[in-house]
Amino acid sequence: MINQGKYNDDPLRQYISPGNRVQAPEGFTSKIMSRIQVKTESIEQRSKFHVKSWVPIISILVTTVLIVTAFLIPHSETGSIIQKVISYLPELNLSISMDKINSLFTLVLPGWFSYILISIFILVLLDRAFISIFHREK
Amino acid sequence: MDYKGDIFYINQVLEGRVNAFSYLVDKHKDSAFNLAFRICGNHEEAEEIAQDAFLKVYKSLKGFKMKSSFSTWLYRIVYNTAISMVRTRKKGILSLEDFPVNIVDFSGDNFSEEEAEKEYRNSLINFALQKITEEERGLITLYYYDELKSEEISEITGISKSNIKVKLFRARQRMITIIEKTEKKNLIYHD
Repeated sequence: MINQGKYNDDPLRQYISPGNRVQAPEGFTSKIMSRIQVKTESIEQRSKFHVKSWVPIISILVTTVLIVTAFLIPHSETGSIIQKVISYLPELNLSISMDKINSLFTLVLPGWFSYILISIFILVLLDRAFISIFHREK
Repeated sequence: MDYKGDIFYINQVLEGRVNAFSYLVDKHKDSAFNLAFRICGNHEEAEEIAQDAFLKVYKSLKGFKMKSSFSTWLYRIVYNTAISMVRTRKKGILSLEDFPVNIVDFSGDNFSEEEAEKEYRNSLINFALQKITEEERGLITLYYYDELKSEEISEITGISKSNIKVKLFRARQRMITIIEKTEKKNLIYHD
């Protein structure tokens, strides 16, 4: 409700009234909504990128843990650890026969196999590095 | 357009219906734009300020505590954005000579006398507004154009109620002096 007394007392009221408000330009709302849409999409893409990037990170971590473990476990104790693992296997009632499982542990890999594993690990690291350099989000 | 309460649309947006935000923009865009325009003094910057303010509001909608009304919150963001933009820009202060005496062509066929008078008064007010500080411009706009009470203005600007009254009084006096001087100068020109 407009107070008439307030208008008479205040000379500035002759010049300024709520009716003289400047209106927002046409298409104002649609401009904001399209900016919001773009922002929302980029956030979604970023979150998808984060999910994708977890897969190689986890695989790198697992590979690293395996390599480190292989170096840290003393050669003499390897046998006893494997024996312990094998002793638990019959309790699991696996469909595969124990003879076949035992043959897996007696498998001897060639010496160059460790070099291949390390090479794959280095290539994965290089791949991640190149992706982060050349596929930056705009 | 049939508007429900602001809180209804805020909740819709928070539930993931992004388009509900357009109702809030539609409802408040003129007030936001007017405040930005009166503080910064030009249409392009005002649009940028108002848009940025709405985007800030959208981004921080989750953090909106609803202690104040949505419009107060929006006004606060527009006010702060506009003030900081003007302070970084800091154009030279206009002198009385800068007011274009022939800004409205009273003799032309394009305007009725009433329209021309209205246009002239608007230009005069815009000119006088640019002669006071950006903070005073904000206060004048919120008080005269939006007819807000000093409590609400205080909430928006962060200035105490008593200080708002003092600042408004000074700004009003200065504007009236500027308007009177400019009108005198204009009369001389047209005579």
